[in-house]
Amino acid sequence: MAEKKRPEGLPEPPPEIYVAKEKRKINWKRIFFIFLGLAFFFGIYFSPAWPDAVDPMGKHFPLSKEAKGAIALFMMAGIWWVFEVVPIGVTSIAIGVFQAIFAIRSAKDAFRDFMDPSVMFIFGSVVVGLAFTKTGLTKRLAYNMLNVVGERTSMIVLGALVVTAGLAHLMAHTAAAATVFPILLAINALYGEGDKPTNFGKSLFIGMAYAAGAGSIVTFLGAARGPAAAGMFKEFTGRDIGFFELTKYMFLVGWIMVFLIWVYLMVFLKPEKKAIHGLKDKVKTMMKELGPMTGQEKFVIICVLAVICVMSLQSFVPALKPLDRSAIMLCSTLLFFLTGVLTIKELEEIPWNIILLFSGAMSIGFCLWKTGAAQWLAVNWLVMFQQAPWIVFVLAIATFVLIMTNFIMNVAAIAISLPVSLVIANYLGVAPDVILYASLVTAGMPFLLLIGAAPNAIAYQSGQFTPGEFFKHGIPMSIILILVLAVFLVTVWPLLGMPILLK
Amino acid sequence: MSDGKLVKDVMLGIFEYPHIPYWFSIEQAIKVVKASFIQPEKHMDPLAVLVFDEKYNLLGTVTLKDILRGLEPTFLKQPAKAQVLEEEKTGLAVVWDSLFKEESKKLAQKPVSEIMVPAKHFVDPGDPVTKAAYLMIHFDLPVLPVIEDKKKFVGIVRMVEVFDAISEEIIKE
Repeated sequence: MAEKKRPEGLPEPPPEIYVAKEKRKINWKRIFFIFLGLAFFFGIYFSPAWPDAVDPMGKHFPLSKEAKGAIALFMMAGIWWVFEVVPIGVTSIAIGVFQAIFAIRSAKDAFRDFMDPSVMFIFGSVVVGLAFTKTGLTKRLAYNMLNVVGERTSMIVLGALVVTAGLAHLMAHTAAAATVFPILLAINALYGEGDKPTNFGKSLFIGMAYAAGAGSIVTFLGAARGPAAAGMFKEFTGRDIGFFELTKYMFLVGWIMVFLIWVYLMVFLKPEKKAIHGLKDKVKTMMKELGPMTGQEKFVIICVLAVICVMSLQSFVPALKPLDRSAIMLCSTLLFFLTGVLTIKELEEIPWNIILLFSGAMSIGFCLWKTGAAQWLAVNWLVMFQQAPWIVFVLAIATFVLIMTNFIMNVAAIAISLPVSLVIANYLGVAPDVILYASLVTAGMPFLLLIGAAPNAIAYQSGQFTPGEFFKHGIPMSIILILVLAVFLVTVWPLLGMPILLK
Repeated sequence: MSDGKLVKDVMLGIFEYPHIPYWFSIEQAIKVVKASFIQPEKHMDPLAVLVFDEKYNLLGTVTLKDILRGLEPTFLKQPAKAQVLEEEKTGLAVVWDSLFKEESKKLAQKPVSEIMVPAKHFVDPGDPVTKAAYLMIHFDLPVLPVIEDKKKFVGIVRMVEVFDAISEEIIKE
């Protein structure tokens, strides 16, 4: 052995050297919120019976033991989801387990919702996102965007918003944001200010988070909340929402919001520099690295277009009507695996945590509905709205969803608010369609808090803005969103044929 | 290889290997690694630098790969919050070379504790070399700490010596 010598920066070596003991940290905050959720559950579940809800006509709605259990479980799930005491998918498992163990609903009912066709649709759309990522299509789209927009910073921000929103039509908004994020980080690095927060960086990343939400409301592929809400809508009203129908009503709202976001950013977060010189050359090298479009990329495009076509045609071709949306969607999944575009590796990398979140959200939504808890809550709430004009009520619901979606995942916000709102709508003579679409618009755009949606959290990782700044810019943007929605409710949607009031 | 070599036959002494405290910056670690390059008779290829705490307990190792990873700009890393497939970013990697003046130099000021791989896998001096090979293959480790009685750190075994021992066994007449 070589002679002992004192290594640089360390003290004199002791006679015997040991391996450092691993330090274990106790996360007291997490433990506190686990118990807070449980306390809410047990406190409500074992509390004495709650008084009946009485509607304006004097009809009584008692709260059964199971319905009270559903409210207890909803409270617990809400706390666990907001504070992420366990992975969000595991909270969903708790939703199923608690329903079965505490006899809120039968195990068969509680767990059947976990594989509801809407959840399978979400699974299929996640796989589309994976296929886009795996084949490099998303990168190709983003690099092409950079090539088109050139070196002007205002155009780069607009390009980033358009590509993010466009991608969120075809894949989950989380996947769209995650794909665009590294590219935007690279652009921001080329801006030349290092890690220092700049207006350009803020515009780029806050804009990306906002545009991911705005783009995701346009199709059923953009976010799980769409298929989840359509699934619930079908269960509650017996009517199916077509792929084309959703896009028909949401396209304009989504894209008007994308451009309004850009205008807002260019006014309040105007980039300090007018251009990023040299970006165009870099983009050329990046595109060269990608090479020409491969057969796999073309195949993925054809598959996705075919799926979208069949789903859109369902609204016009009666023969296609009986085909289930989830089954059509899952055809693309099957094709990707049959042709080897995706392999077992990608199957294992599916974000099961997110899929389970949707399962749990469906299960708690149906639980509130089926046990009568939604009706009890709605009737109690109705007193506030019984004299209100329909527009006030619809905007109040939309604002409620807007606030909720900032605190909990937007699928969960829909699952919680939709059952209650649809009952109230019926009382006030408002068509359920208005509630569905208005809720979907606001559920897709949590502009205030980082925990509202995964793209917000991804954008925050850029280090360009603080949660406070995000909140500050989110307030005017949320107000703009409600104003845009109000305009659509009274003018555009009725013109497009959406039923507003029940005859 | 039942009559083959044991870990104690191939291990190097602790002080034959470069080591640093955890508060050293990546840049300081680079200097230590570079200095060890010019002592070829001892360790011409320092596969890893040992990292110690202030009480001289072993915390982990920093490999050349860990150092390069520490200098990598953020956009080449996967966003932690996104549950999506990890992408290869060969195209984007061309932007990295523009960032050496500022960003990578700044990243080099991070402490090595942020890039270090904690020491979790060990071998005993009496273990066969094949056990070391198994750990290196399955946990992607170029070096392994050798510890006695499950706590006393007595040496290091490197992939080069493990390879030597195993390959000799294969090709001998």
